[in-house]
Amino acid sequence: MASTWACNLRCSYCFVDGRGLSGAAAAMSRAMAERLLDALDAGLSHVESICVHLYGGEPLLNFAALEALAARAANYPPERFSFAITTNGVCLSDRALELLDAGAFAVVLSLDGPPEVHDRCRRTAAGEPTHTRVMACLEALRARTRCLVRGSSVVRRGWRLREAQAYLRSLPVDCIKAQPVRALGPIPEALTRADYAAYHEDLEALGDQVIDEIERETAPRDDRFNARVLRLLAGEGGTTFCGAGDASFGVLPGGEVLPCVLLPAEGNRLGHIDDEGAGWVEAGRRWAEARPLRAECRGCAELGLCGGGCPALMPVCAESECVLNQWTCEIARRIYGHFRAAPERLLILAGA
Amino acid sequence: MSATTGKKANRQLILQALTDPKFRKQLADDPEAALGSGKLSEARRREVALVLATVKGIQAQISAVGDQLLCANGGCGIAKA
Repeated sequence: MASTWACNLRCSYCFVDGRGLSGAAAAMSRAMAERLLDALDAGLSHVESICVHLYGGEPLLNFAALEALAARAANYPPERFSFAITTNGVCLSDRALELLDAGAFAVVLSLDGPPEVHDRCRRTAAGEPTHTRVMACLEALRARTRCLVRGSSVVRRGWRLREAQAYLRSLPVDCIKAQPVRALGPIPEALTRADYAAYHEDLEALGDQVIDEIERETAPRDDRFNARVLRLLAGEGGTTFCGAGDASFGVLPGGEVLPCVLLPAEGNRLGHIDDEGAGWVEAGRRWAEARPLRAECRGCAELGLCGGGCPALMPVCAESECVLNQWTCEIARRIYGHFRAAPERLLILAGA
Repeated sequence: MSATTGKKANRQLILQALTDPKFRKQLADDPEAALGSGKLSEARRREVALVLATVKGIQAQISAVGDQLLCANGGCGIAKA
């Protein structure tokens, strides 16, 4: 759920700014947040548990919604709802820390690299650097909560995947994520052809590292290959990339339901959380079934592992997305192949 | 049985249940028959339950491979238009 589109930062590569998403429904109200949990519980009665992931903008700017969700969740059995939040970590209050801990939130903390890297792109609206404050946030999360913390870095021109990996691995985070910036137009941070080649090289090295970690009976801290490797292990292909519209939904600040918060509302609106009978669930299923498969995907050997790519990104940067997905799939196959003689060892990717 | 041997045995069971739908169903419906053993101890039944729960978790995990920047696992990173 995008609890607000407002943000205290002006990251140079951010997508929200360019999508005109701020406006009349800039922040989800407390009442709407409460109704959201009730609507999800009623509409998704066929599932055992629901994860609500707070997004934005910067979700910590809408503390009322966070508080309302935490309070409402207490009305349900503990296993009904789990929570996650993606945050820039710059405005974490003591009270927010308490709520994150009490709700056992999984926290995705945006932290690109050391100060000279992070602060190049991630500054406040007033142009102030933020690295010091984000590190203080990480320290507080580790010292005062039991939250799972994922460090998330944006790989971009002048900041390679291997550098982002090394930096995040040096931090006290449980898992890491380092994905390349997606340039929808010419921006300074966009990856050049040479940068993409370097990314590929670093991704292959990451694959080697994951193999080494599995050999040492250690769960890889960068888990980007996990789902694909486990699909190979299970012998099951998948027809979706992310389950948008079927297993996952996006809720906007005003309560509109989309298959994903990143999709344009026009043409993708499934309904509203206040809709009688939760029609958005069935609308989502129809949306997922009707989603056209790109011509390039038909007959692609990786379709079962890829699922056709991200429905939000493919329409805007399909070529580079396809290449990135193919590389990831190829390396996942390599990891799987390495353990062909002892496939049960791959179960560590599932925590077994 | 050592801890390592036990872990390996459970992984083998998980793998079999994951890759063999018939075995998985039998393990859920009639674990004694599935395992070819007599009456199961309580500890063994708990292990079977854990195996089935693990397989269910894996099936949920592989239902989506979304790992892009703005997926549920992600942070921001798409450049503005």
